[in-house]
Amino acid sequence: MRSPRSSSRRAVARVIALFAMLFAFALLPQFASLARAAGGITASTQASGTMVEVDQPFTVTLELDSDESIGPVTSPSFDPPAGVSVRGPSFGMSERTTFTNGVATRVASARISYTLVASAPGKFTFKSPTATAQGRSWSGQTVTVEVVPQGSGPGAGVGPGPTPFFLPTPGFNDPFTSRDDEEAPSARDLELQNAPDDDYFLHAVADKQAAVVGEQITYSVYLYFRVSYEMSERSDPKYADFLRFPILTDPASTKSVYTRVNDKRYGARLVERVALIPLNAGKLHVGTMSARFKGRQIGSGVLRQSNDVEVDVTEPPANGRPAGYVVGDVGQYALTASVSPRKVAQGGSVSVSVRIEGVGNVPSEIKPPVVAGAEWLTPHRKDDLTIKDGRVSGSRTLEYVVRLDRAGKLDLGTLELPYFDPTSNQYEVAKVALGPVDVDPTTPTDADVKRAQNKDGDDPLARLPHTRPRLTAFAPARPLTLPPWALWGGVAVPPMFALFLLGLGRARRAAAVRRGAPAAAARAKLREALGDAKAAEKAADAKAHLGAIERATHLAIELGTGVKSRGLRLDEIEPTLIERDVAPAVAKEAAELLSQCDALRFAPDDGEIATKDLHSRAVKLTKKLAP
Amino acid sequence: MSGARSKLSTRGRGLLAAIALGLVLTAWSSHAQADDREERFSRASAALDKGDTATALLDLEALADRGVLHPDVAYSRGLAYAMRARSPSAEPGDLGRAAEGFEEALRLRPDDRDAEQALDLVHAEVARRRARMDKNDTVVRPSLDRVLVTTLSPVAWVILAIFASLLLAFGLLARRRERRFVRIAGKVLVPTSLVALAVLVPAAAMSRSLTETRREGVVIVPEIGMRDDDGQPTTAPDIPESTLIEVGERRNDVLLVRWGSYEGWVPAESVRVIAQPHPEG
Repeated sequence: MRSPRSSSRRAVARVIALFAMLFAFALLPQFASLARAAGGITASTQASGTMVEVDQPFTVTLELDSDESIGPVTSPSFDPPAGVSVRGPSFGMSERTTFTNGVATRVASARISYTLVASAPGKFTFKSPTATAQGRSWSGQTVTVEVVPQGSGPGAGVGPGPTPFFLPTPGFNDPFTSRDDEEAPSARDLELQNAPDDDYFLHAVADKQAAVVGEQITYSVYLYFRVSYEMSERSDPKYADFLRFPILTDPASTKSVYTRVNDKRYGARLVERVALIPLNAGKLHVGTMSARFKGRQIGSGVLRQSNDVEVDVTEPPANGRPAGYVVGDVGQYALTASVSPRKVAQGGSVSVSVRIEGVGNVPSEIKPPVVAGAEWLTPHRKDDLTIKDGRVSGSRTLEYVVRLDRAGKLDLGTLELPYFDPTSNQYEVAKVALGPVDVDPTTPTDADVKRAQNKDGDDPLARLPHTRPRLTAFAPARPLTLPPWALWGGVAVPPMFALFLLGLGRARRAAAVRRGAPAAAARAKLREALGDAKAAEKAADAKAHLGAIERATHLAIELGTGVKSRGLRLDEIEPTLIERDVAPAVAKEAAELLSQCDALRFAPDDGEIATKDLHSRAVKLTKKLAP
Repeated sequence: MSGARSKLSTRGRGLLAAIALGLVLTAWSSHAQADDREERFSRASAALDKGDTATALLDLEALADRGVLHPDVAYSRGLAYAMRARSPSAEPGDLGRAAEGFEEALRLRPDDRDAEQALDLVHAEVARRRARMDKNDTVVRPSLDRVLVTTLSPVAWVILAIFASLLLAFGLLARRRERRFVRIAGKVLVPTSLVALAVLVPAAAMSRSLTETRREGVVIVPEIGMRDDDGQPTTAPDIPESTLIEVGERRNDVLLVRWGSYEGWVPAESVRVIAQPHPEG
C-alpha cells in the first residue's frame, strides 16, 4: 500500500517532469539555433531530377545555409563526368526569417547551380560542386542522376517553374510532367524547326501571309520555354497600318502545351492574340513584341523580342468591282432597315434605321439613295462589334433622319452595300429596299413661305462673303524676334554691373586704407564734421552744433598729433598735446574749447550765442592743429 | 602691258556681263513667279465664281504648297472649302480646312472683316451640324498661363524684363548714395524690381519657348480624341472640327496638341498647321 506522502511526491515529480518537458520544448529552437551557430555553414547538394533524357538540361546545386551572414562565396568548381556538358555556375543568395514559438530564426543561403546536359544514356554519379566561403572550402554529398534515351524519360528535368507575371495558372498544364498534349493538334502546329534561343523565346505567327485591305488577320505570339522563368515589362507590337481588335483578353486563361523545337522538348504558351484589319495595301509589318525575363538559369531582366511578321496586303481585285465599293469593306454582311412612320406631312421627317450586320470589320458608313424630295441628314451611329469564334463580327446601326419636302407617294429607294467576300473571293452587294412613304401635301403657312423665299435661312454658309477677283497688295509683317541671349544677358548684365561698381568702390576705399591714407580719410571726416557744424548752426540746432564742433576738434587733434583725444580726460589733453610738440597756447585753446563744449551741453539757454563763438574758434583751432 | 590691260578689261567685262545676266535672270524669275501666282489666283477666283470648287482648290492648294503667304490666297482657300462643304461633293473635314484658311488670312491681315465673318459662319455651321448629331460640346477655355503669356509678344516680355533689371541695378547703386531721397528710392526699387523680375523673366522665357516650339493649328476632321504618351485615350473631351488648337512636337504620325488645359497626342493628319511668316531677327 502506497503511503499518502509517496503518492504526493510522485505527483510533484510528475508536475516537475511536465514543466521540464515544456521548458525543453520551448528551448528547442534556441538549442537548434545554438547548434547551427556552433556548426556555422551547412552544405548540401541537390539535382533537379533523378531521371532525365539525353540532351535534356538539368541542374546540380550546392546550397550553403547559415544563420549568420555567409559572406562572399568564391572559387566555385565542379568536375562533371565524361559525356556530360556543363554550363554555369549561376549564383543565388537569399535570406529568410522564420518565427517559431515567438523566436525569430534567420537563415542565409547561397546557391551555386550548374546546368548539365548528358549526351548519352547511363547512370551518372556527380561529386558535389565546391565553393569557398568564410575562408574554407565547402561541398555537399554526391548525387546520382539516371539519363535515359530521348522520349523514354518522365521529363523531370528543368520544369516550367514559376509562371509569368500574369500567371499563376489554375490548372496549369505542366508540359514536362504530362505527355497528353504531345498528341494534340495545337502542339503539332506549334512545332518549329529552329529556336532563336536555347531556352526560351517569343515567336509570332499570323494565320495568313497575304490578305486584302480590310480582311481580318489573326496574329498570335507564343512563348516557348524549357527553363523556369518570370516574364515582365511586356511591350506589344506597334500594329501600325492595322486596326486592332483584341482576341485574348485574359492571358492567364491560356494553358501551356508541349511541343518540339528542333527536336527538343519545349513548353509553349499563348501570350497574345489579336485580330488585325489592314488599312493600306503593301508589305505591312506588324512589329515586334518584347518582354523581360528572369529566372535561375536566365538571369535578371533579360530582354527577348519576337520576330516581326510581314503580311502582303493588296486591294481586292479591280475586276468585277461594283460601283460604290469602298476599299476596306471586306467580310460577309447583311442589311436590314426600318422606316418610321410611313406617313408624314410635307416638310416632315421620317426615321430610317439601317443595321449592317455580319462578319468582318463592319462598314461604318453607307451611301444613302439619292431621291428627289428626300434629304438625308447626318446619321447617328451605334456600334456593337465583338469577337466571336476568333472573328471580328457584330453590327453597326445608322439612325438617319430623312426630311421629306415633296408631296405624294415617295419611294425612298434601295440601300446598297457592296463588299468583297474573301471566302468566295468575289464581290457581293447587300441590299435592302426602304419602300414608299406617303407624304401629305400641306398648305404652306406664312413661315413656310418665308422659309421658302429664304431657303438658306438656316444655313450659315449661305451667307458666305464674296470671292476676291485678284490679289491685293500685301507685305507680310514679319514678327520681330530677339536672339536667345537677349533675355538672359539683358536681365543679368545691369545688376551685375551695379554690383561690380559697388564692389569696385569698396575695394578702392579698402586699398586707400591699406596704402596708408588714413590721414586723407581723417581729413575728409574733419571736413565733414565742420560741414555738419555749419549745417547745424544754420538749423539753430545747438546740440548738434556742439557735437560737430567737438568731433571736429578731436579729429583735428588726431590728425595733427596722432593722439586719440576722445579717450583722454579733459585735464589730460593739454599736457598730452604739449608732450606731442604742440604749441602750449594751441594745446590750452584745444583743452578749453573741448571743456566749454562739454559745459555748454548742460547749459542750453546760452547755447546759441556761445556756439557761434565756439564755431569760429574751432575753425581756427583745426587749422592750427592740422594745417 | 597694254595687252595685259586689255586682257584684264576683257575679264572684267565678262564678269560684269555675268553679274548683269544673273540679276536679269533673278528679276525675270521673280517676275515670272509673281505672274504665275497672279494667274493661278485669278483662275481660282473665276472657278469659285462658277462654283467649281475642285478647280479652285487645285490652284489654291498649289499656291499654299509653294509657300505663298497671302491673306487673299488663304481667304479664297477657306471660301472654296466652305463652298464645297455645302455642295454634294462635300468631303469630311471641309469645314475644318475652311476655318484654317480664314484663320490664316486673319493671322496675316488681322483687320480682314470678310475672313472674320466667314470664320464665324463656319463655326456656326459646325455647331449646327454637331447639334443635329446630339453632340454636346464642352466649352474649353485657354489655361491661365497661356492667357497671361500671350497678352504680350515675346519681345515685349523681354524688354519689360530688361527694364526691370535696369531698375534693380539703379536701386542697388542708389541705396549707397548720400542723398536721402535717392537712398529711399533705391531701397524701394530693389525689392520692387526683384518681384517684377520674378514674374517677367519666367513669362518672357515661356513666351519665347511657346513661340519657338508651338504653332497654331485647326482640326480638319469631324472630331478627334486625345491620347496620352502610351496611346491610351485621355479624359479630355473630343475636339470638334474647326477648333483652333496649339500644336507642339511631332512624333512619327502623331502630334502633341493642347486644347485649353488639355494636352495629348492626335493623328497628324487630323490637324492642319496655320502657316506663318518667318520671323525677323
